[in-house]
Amino acid sequence: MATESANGVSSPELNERDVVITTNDNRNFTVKIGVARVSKTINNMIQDLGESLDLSSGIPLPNVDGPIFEKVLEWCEEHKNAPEIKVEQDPHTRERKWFTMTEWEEEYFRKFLSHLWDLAMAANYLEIPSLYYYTCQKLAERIKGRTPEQIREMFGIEDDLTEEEKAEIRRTNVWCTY
Amino acid sequence: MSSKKSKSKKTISKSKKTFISKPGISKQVLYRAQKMSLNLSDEKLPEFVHFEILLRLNTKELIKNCTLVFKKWNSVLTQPQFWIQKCEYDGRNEALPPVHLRQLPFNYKKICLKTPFGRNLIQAYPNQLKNTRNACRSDKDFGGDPRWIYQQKQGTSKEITIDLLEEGFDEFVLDQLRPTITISEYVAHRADCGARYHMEASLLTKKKEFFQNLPSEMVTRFETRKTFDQWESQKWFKIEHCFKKYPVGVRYILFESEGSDLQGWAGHYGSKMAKPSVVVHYEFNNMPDELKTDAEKHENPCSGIMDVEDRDGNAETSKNKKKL
Repeated sequence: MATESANGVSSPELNERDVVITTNDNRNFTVKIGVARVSKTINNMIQDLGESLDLSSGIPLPNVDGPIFEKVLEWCEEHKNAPEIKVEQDPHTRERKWFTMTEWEEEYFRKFLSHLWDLAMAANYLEIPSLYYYTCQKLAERIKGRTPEQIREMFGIEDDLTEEEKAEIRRTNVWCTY
Repeated sequence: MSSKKSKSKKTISKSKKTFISKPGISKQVLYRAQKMSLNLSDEKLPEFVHFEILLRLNTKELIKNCTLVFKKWNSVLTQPQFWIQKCEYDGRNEALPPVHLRQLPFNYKKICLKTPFGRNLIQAYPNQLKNTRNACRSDKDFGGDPRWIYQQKQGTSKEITIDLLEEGFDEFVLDQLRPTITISEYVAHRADCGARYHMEASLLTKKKEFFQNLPSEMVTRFETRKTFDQWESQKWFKIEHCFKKYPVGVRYILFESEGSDLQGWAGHYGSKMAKPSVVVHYEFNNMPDELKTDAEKHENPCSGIMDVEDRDGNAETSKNKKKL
């Protein structure tokens, strides 16, 4: 299969071509370059490899497994033409604003609620700012207003603090009263 | 956003190294070697992912709930760096110490939650007032800001006590570093009636007592008086004092002011007071020299009465003291 030069990377034609991406469980995904490039990590690899990129033998992703990459791809497909997200501040309080999600995005997170941590990790590694920030926000939303017990249960976190340690933490934060 | 960017760059360079600069190693080997378990309590889960999530929660919730979930979060939430970022995330950079002082062992959790520095500690005014007699609030003066106006009647007084520990200062800060404490208040009178004003501010011990037998350079008390003549043109004056050299053990600040009219008329004809303020600054008077900036090495005494409208100073403290 022919290789592409780095100069031609931005051409719409190339975006329509396929690239094979291999996850760490040896699964091969054939993906349109235009979709794969939503990940800056992949995009950089495509650009850096330039001429030497062999589209058919593909790009390895040693830090992502198949089931998660599948979910990430769904996001990439939807966001392939989306503009970069902007982190905005409230002009008055200068506090960072929460992102407003589309119906599709809300549905996406509803569907993969139990995989939010993995998605955040994968999005961070693959450098997909929209997915990374939105997932973190979603996680924060889930944590908000919940007790430590509820948080642990929700994310399947093992309670590794002893009662003495908890009492100590409470004691050091006792001034937090108002 | 900028800190995020730098992290992203790191990731890029890592990936380049892995995939490009080592063409000899087979991909198979590469991705087996780098396989990483995606587990929340995994030690390898980068800390900044935890940061990114927790920064979005409110400070109180973080301290009360999130510290108790598991060890990892408790350790994230005891890091000064997290709380510094939290202040920045919330757009409250002014709550933080200047960069060259951040190595000092501040309780950043407290700084983030209570903002002790750089804030007017008299915030709940006038609810913070105690022993207030014969005063009424006026909404007319001072740019129409009703929160701060207090018009004095015959023999009126007010008193505010500030609990420094409650406001978020650690004993270490008060005793070892001894930050500059600035107190100020604006005062004026009614043009048609002469008035008298007297203000006192004191630093108190943990038993709310005055300090006794101090060396002469230590100042824990500031007092000023001012008299306005009838038909003197009405102006607002700012009275300000900085406490810099004070002893170990300051825990409270007592701020008292009183005033009355000189004509003895019925009604609210006395001196007016507005915008009382107590601010503690990130400026330390007992700090090791190597941490001082050049500006801090210069003594900068600030005390006295400033004329708000023209700063030529028509009314010095001494002049008014004679009149009394």
